[in-house]
Amino acid sequence: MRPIRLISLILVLAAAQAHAIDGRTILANMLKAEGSVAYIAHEVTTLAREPAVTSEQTVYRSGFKGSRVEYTQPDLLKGEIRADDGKVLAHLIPKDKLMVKRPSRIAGMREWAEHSAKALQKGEIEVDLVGKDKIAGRNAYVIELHPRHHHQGKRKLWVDTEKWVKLRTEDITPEGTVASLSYYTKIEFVKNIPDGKFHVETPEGYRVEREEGPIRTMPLEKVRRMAGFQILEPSYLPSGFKLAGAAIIPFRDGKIVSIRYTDGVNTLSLFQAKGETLNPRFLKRLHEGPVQPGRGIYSWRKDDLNLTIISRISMDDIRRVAGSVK
Amino acid sequence: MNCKEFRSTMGDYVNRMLGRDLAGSAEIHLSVCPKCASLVKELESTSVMMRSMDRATAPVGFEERLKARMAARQEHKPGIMERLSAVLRALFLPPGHRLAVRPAIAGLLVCFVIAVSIFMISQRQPASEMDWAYIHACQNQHATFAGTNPLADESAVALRERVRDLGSEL
Repeated sequence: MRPIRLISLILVLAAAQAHAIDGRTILANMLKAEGSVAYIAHEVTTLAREPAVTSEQTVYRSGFKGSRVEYTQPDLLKGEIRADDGKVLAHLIPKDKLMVKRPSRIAGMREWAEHSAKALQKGEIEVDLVGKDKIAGRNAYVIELHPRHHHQGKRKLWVDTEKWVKLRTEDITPEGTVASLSYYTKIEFVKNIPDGKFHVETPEGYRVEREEGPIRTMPLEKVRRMAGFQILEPSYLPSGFKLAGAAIIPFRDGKIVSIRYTDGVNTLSLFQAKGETLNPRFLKRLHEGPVQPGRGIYSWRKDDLNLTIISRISMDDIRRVAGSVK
Repeated sequence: MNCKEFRSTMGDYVNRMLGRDLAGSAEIHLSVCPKCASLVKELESTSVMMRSMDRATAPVGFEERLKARMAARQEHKPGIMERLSAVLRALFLPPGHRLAVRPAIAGLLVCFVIAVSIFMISQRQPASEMDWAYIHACQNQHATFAGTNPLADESAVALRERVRDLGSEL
């Protein structure tokens, strides 16, 4: 064999080796990186709706320690900050001189990452490596995720080949159109972001609103005991969907029970509340059907319960789930 | 009587078909308004000229058709608006003021529709607010659940929440 052919063969083999990484490994690495990598990035997000909405924001992220988003566009959102320090998710809205404080979402993110890693191990999520690309000047693998059963839409992720951070995300509807996308235009990996960055003090003269609500999901059995009324469950779920947990949301003088399902990629929440919790006028008006077209919300009544499903799966499937709730 | 009122009855005046009172008012108006007086003169001379013209022969069957039409017109039953208009005229208006009735009825109808709409909107408002309080509570919880998914687009979920809060402002 001539030396030049030998070198070519070695190069081809090396390239093949480099491509030997598969989608599952990339996703597993990405899930691990979620909890540890720190970076500062400039991000663009677009919701493909009528009319389309685009925002630009600076993102500070330090694994499961904290996150901070500072909106720079559009004008209406400029100056808004969402910062999560692991205890409180503070949302500063200068336009309204308002600070909204919600429970941190970080614990939920950790739970989800573990849940997704397990779903990946069990083969409940299918991942295909579909190519390579360059985002924000960095090399990225392009992977496509979908539940084992393809009909519920999919997600396309661009994952940094070195740091395993998600650089771009596209949400694709069951009909094959892009529903939303977010991508970084600039990213700088850092060793550490000071804790203070994830905490926002309420400026003087600002009104504070607190939104209660458990973030951690509980086992359904526990929620069943706490609910105080007979909880209904669907006998039909789209293929691949499984129970992820349940939660109780205080609402006015009563409570709303939320049961959460996921197929590893998509989510579905079933809400139920006793009729007397709500305004009688509202009860009369609550009809069976979608609540505003295209929003993935479906409400109906059964005996003395108000039921609502929220999910981005197809409305036909939502209707089928609703029809099976007993 | 002013010019507008006189001109609405001018045809009847020239043909001597006005009642005594209205005819008197018309005479008074003509004595002080040279414009209307000259219009009456013109109309009277046209009328005299028409009468002096040779009689034209009507087409074949014209008379029968005309009679049939008139008979049909006599059988025509007045509609609700016509009846209402007649009642109002009889109750409130002196003869010759017919034109004022229709705008008055239209005005009344518009006021009625506006009043009913305001009433219905005021009835719907509390239910609508309640509706969205419940739906928003559910949406917030779902966003919390869906948005923390590391495989989801957290920024898109957050933006969707803001779009929902700000509505058409964005």
